[in-house]
Amino acid sequence: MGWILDAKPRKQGGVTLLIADGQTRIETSLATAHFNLYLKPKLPGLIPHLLSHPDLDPNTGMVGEGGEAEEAVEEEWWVPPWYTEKTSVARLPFTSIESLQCVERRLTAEGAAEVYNTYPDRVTQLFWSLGYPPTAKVGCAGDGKLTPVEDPSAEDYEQPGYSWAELRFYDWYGEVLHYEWKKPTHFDLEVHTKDEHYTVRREELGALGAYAREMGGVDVLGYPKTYSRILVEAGLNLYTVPLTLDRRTPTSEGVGEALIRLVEWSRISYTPLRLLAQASIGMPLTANEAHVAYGRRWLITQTNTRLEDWKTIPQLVVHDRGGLLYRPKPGAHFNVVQLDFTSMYPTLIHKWNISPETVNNPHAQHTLGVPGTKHTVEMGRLGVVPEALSRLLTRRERLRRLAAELGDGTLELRQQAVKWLLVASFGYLGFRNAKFGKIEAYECVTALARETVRRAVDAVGDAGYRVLHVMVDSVFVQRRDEAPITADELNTLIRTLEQVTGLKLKVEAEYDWVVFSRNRHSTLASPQRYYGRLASGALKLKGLECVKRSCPQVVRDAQLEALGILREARTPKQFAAALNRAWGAFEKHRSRLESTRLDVDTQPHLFAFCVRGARRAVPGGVDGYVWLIKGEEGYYQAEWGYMGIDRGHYLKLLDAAWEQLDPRPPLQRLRGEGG
Amino acid sequence: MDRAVEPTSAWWVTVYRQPHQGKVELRLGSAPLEEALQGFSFIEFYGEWPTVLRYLHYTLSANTDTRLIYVQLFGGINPYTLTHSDATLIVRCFDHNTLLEAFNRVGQDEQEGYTLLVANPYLHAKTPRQQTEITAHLRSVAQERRVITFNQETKTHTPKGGYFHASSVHILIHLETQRRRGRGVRRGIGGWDTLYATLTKHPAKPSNTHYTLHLDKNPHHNNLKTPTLLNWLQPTRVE
Repeated sequence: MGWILDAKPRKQGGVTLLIADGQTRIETSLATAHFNLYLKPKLPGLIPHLLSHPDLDPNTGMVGEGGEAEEAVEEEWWVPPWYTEKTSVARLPFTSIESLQCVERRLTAEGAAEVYNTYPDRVTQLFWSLGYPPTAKVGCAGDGKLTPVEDPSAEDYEQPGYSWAELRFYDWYGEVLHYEWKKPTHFDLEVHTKDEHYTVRREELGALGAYAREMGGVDVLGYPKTYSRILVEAGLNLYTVPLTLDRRTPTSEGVGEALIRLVEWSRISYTPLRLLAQASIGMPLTANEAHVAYGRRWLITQTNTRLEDWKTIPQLVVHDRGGLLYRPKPGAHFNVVQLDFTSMYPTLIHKWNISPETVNNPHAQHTLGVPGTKHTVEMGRLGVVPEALSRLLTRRERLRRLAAELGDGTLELRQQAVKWLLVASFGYLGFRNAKFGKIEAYECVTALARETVRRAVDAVGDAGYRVLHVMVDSVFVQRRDEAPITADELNTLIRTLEQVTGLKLKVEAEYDWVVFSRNRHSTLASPQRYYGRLASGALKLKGLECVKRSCPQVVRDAQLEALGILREARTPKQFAAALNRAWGAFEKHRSRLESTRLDVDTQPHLFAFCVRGARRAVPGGVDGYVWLIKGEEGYYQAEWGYMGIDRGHYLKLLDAAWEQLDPRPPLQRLRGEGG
Repeated sequence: MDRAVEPTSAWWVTVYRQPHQGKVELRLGSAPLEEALQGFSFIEFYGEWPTVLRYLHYTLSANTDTRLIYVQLFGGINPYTLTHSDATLIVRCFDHNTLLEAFNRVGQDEQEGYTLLVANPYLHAKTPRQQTEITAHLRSVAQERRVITFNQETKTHTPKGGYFHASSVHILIHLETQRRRGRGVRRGIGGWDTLYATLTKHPAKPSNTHYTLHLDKNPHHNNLKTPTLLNWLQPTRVE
C-alpha cells in the first residue's frame, strides 16, 4: 500500500505508475489505460480510416464493422462559445499516447479534422476517467489491480508519506538563489524519510558529497535548480529522484509545506505532481474548471477567441477599473476594526453566475444587468466557473472547520492552498490565455465588487460609524467618538452589512491603533501601507520596508526595533511618547551608520538586499534573484565580495523607513509633538 | 525598401485611389499630408512606439467616425485623455486569434463611413504565418473602408509585419521626434508637440518627402469639452 507519485505514459501503450510509501518505491503498469482523441472530421471517410489504426483500444465499445463501428465512436457534445448547441464528435480511444499525439499532429497540420479536448494533458484526463487523483493512496489486490483505499473527495485524507529532502545554499550575505560563477560556501540540508528526520545547518559545501546518497534516495528533492551542476559534482544522480521542486525564489515555504499544497491541488484538479511542480497556479485552477466542463460534455477548443464588444472611450474608462481603493487620511487612528468580506470575488462570481459563457450571451433567456456596466449575465443555468468555484468554496469551508476542530496544521495548510486557488480564480478570469477567461466577465466582477463595497460604506455611515479606509474587500471602521466598539455593536454592524450586501463578513483585525503611513509624494496616505497594534498585543504590518525582501538588514533592524517600542503603547498619550522613543532608536541606528569605523565595526551582510532582475547592477539583468550592495560607484553584486557602501544611500533609506512609521505631519514632526 | 513595392506609375495610382473612400476628411496634423493621403485606403504610420502612440492619441482626439482595434498587453493608450469624445469605438485584442476575430467583425459590419484604426497589429504575431494572416485580413478590410495602422518599427527601422505587409500597404509614413534627429526635445514648436513624418512609400509622390506635424497647433483640433486652464479663463469660442 502506498501513494501514487507519478504516472508516465509508455511508448508501447499504457501507463507506468510510480508508487511510494516513504521508504520504498515500486513501479506498476496500468495496462488498461487509454487516452481519448476527440475530433470532428472535415474529410469524408476519415473515421473508418482511423478506426483501422493498430493502437486503438479494442475493448471500448467499437464493435461491429463499417457504419456500426463509426456510430459507436460518435458522441454528442455542446459547442463553444455559448454551449447552447450540440454537435457530434468522434471519440477514439488510443492505448498509446505517442500514437495519439502523432495522429493529432497530422490531422491538425493537414486540416483534416477539428481536434477538441486537448486541455488539460492526457494523463490528467486519464485520472478523471479512473476516478481517483494522481496522489491517491492505493492498494494492490491479488490480481494485481490497483484500487484506491480512501475516498478521493475527502478533505481529511492521509497526507502522502513521500520522503523528501530540502537543500538551501548560503554565502556570507545570506541564502543564494542564483548561480552564475561563484559557488556558495555553505548549505543547509533537511532530510525527511519514513524512518529518520535530520537537519544539517551551515555545513561547508565540500561536505555535500557525504549526503549525496541520502538525497538521491528520496522521493522529492527541493533545491535551486541553477545549482544542479554542484549537486552532480558532489556525486548525486538527479535522475534517481522522481520529483524535484525548484526553490529559486526567496520563500519561507519549506518542501514539506510545498508538498501539502501541491498534493491538495493535485487532488482537486487530478493533475500529477510532476506537472504541478513546474506550472503556475493557473494549471490546477483551469484543470478543475475543465473537469466541470468535461462532466457536462462541453467541448474545450485548442484556442478560444472571446472578443469583447465595441466600447466608447468613456465606457472603457468606466468598465476597465479595479476594486474600490480609498486614499486614507494619514495619521494614527485609535480603536479601529477592520472588517473583511469572506472570499469576496469568488463568492460574487458564484452568486452572480459569472462565467465566459454566461456574460453577454446572446442566446440567454433570463438575464440580469450588472450595475455600472453594459454587461448582462445569464441566470438560467449555472456557469462552469461558478460551479468549479462553488466546489472550492465548500471544500475550503470544510477544511477551515476541520482545522479549527482538530487543531491540525496540515489541514490549515490545505485550507490555505484552496484559498490561493480562490484568490487566483478572479485574476485568471481576465487572463488572456485562460481557457475559461473573458475580459467582460472580469469587468463584471470588479464592477460588482465596487458596488458591494459602496453599499457597505453607506451602511456603515448610516449605522453611525466612520469609514477610515476601504481596500477592495476590506473596510476600516471607527466609532465617531473614537471609543472602542463593543462585541455586540460589532455583531450588529456585521449583520447589517451582511443584509445590505448579501455577502458574509468577518472581523479581520481589531486594532488598539492603526497608522496609515504618509506618502512622500502626496498629502494622502499610501493605500496599501499601514501598521497597527492588534487587541491581542501583536503587530500587523503591511507594505512597510521591513516586510520586503529588498530591504537591507540594517534598515529592517531599525524599523523593527522602533515598531517594538511602538507596540508597547495603547492609548494616544502612550503612543505619542513611544513615537519619540522610537525616533531615538532610529537615531541610534543612524549614528552607528554615520560612524567612521563602520567597515570594521559592522557586519557587511547588513547592507545586502535581495532583488529580482538586478538591472541596475548587471547589464542586461539576471534571470533570478541576486543580492546587491550599493557602493560608492553604484550597485554591485554581493557575491563579488564586500567593497564598501554608499553611506548616504543607506542613510536615505533609514530616513524613508522612519517616514513610513511617523504619522505626524512634517511640521509637527519638526516640533517633536505627538501623533 | 524594395523598388517593387514603390511603384509610381499612373496605373498604380488609379488602382489604389478609390473615390468612395475619400469622402471623410481626416485630420492628421498637417494639411499637405492630409492632401497626399486623400483617396488611399491602406495607410500606415510607423516608428518608435512611444512616438507612434502619441500620434495615435492625437488622431483619436482630432477625428470622429473612427473605430480602433487596439492590440495590447499592458499600458499603452491613456483613455483618460480621450474621454471628451464618445464618437470613437474601441475594441481590445489580447492575442492573435482575437485580433483576427476583430477583423472578421469589421469585415461583416455593414455600417459605412468610418475609418478603421489598428494600433500595433503585429504585437502578438510570433511567426511569419501569423503576420501573413494579419496582413491578409488588413488587405481584405481595406477593400471596404479606409484602414490606418499604427505600427512599431523593427531594429532596422522598417515597419513590423514583413515584406508582404510592407508591399500591401498603399502609403507608409515614418514618424520621428526631434530626438532622433540628434537634438534635445523641448516644449513648443520643435518639441514634444511636433512630429516629423517622412513618406517612405507613396504611389504618386516621391518618397523621402518630409512633413512637419503640429499636434496641438492644428487649427482644426479644438477640444472644447475639456478646455485647458487658458481656454477656461477665456470666453468659449463657438464655431
